[in-house]
Amino acid sequence: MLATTKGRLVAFALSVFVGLTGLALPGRALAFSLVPASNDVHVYSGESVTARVIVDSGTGDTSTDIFLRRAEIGADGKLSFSEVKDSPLAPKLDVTSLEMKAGERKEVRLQMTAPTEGEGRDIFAVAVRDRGSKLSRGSVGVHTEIVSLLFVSYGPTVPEDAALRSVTLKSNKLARLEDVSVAVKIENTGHYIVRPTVAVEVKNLFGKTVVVLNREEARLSVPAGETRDLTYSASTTAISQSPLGAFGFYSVRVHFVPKTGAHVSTETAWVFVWPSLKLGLLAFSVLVIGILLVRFLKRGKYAKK
Amino acid sequence: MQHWLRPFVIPALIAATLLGQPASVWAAMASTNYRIDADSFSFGGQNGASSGSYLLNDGTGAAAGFGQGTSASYTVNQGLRGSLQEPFVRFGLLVPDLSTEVALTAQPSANVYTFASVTGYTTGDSVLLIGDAAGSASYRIGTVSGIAGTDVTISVANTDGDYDALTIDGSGDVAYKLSTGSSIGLGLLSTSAVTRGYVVMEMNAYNDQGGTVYAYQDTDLTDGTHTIPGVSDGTVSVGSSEYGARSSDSSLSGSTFDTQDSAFSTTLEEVMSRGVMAPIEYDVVTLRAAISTTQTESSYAHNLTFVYVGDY
Repeated sequence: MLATTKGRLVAFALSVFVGLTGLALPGRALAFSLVPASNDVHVYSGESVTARVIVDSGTGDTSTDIFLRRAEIGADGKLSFSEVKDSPLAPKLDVTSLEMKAGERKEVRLQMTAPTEGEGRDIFAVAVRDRGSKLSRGSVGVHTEIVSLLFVSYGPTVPEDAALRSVTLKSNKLARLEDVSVAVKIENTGHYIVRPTVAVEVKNLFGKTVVVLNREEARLSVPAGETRDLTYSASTTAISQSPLGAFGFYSVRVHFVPKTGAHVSTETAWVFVWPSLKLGLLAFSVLVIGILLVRFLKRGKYAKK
Repeated sequence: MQHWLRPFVIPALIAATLLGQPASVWAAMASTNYRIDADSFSFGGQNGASSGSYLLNDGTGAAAGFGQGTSASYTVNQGLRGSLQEPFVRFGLLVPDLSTEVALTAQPSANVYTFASVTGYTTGDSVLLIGDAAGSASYRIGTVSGIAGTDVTISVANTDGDYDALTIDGSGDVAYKLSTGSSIGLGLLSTSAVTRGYVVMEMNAYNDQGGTVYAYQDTDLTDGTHTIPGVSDGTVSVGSSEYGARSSDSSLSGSTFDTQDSAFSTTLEEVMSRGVMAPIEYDVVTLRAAISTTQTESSYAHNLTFVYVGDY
């Protein structure tokens, strides 16, 4: 897991470096970035919410148009755009264009007001498109457009659409020095994208958390009708930092929050960790011999009576 | 109950009591008037909690490996991780200046290429190298890091996938300097050749799902009077009036741009895709245009927009 973590940290560092300094090659024509890549907002009935998209011009001056489209994700996962027409949640943009110097960041605010009754969902694409230059004859003008998807729902309650479908341990009998590995399957059983939170913790016999199997789930998203298979793993080396060492029963608990603010559901599985096969067999043998010895002594005691 | 089972009863009851504890409490910080970029305390080190009124980018990581502080008197395995970057998407286009085209004649060593002429090329230039430009076409994108005679050392920016297959045999291999322009000068389209243009796409996706680039056109390629229709037979051919493009991304699922010359339209067409976090990735779209012998050689133009969406 550590290697995986290191790999992810390196990738993260590269991404942040690139994100902060602009892309790798000099001489780029058109480049900028958006944060966040997508946004998930619920607006309670009758209330207003303002979401934000941050545009970063990178290393060059940028003139952009900001506009809104309605987005649709087909059953095949393909994205399509259409004009925003009569959606009650269509956000109001506070700006429609941005003039930015190199290295500048500006915020675009999107205000949404939910109807007082009913509930519904929609997807909008907040598009930032470079204005480009006047097209000359015999040329193909190229434009950069980046879209931040805005998944919006409204109504009296936050919809809970995702479900934890299964929790499977690699082995629940003998982990030895192998990784403790748990597979988690999440399914979006609703009609709307969700970004659930998943945490897996391993507790010892005394209920103390000895290790948390980590993944960066901040970016986990599950479109409607899709499943996500996640694998969490930790070596027994990490578990051995508990007072019990690596030996004994452990509970593996998967905590699942379908949507921010929703209740936590928990599934528990069990794993028994041996420090090594030989030591495990030795311990098991001692246990069996001990039980037999107790039985033998008790029988002897009753026989004397 | 069997006698031999008795020794197990009490330990089993103790274990069941200890393990039947409630789940950890989830911490959350929220208000209508503040934003916290880091940090919330939650047992799982989870990130990215948000609602309409707040945004949290981090939690403490409880896993060993994220941070460990030690001294003679303590060991802390639950270190605070560095603040996580909010998922972002970054995207840029580079276009080659077609007037800088120069033939590549040899490849003396791994990252050294022999240019027919180095006039106009200097250290620090971004370049696009194409092997067999008129045929199967493979690409390499990089920066000139040194010039010795006509041998140019390239610091390669893209090292993945098909690019490693770039071979220079002196036949149809070319280099271009990447420019800061926002258009590709196709010039006069000819009845006796296929005119090519290139768009280099740079993608940086900091999210688990990667991202997809789509392209759409405003109109067909036109000179104001005549138009060139989109290619329909998979190949833009000399003497036929057709226009299309092909992507160097060989694994597209939502279009045919990865396998054949394909037509742009006013709706979204997939031209690049990455399914995982992409610190920096490149692909090249090659435009191809030709006109028929009955059509006037002319200057045709239109706009192409490349739309980048971080996958959802």
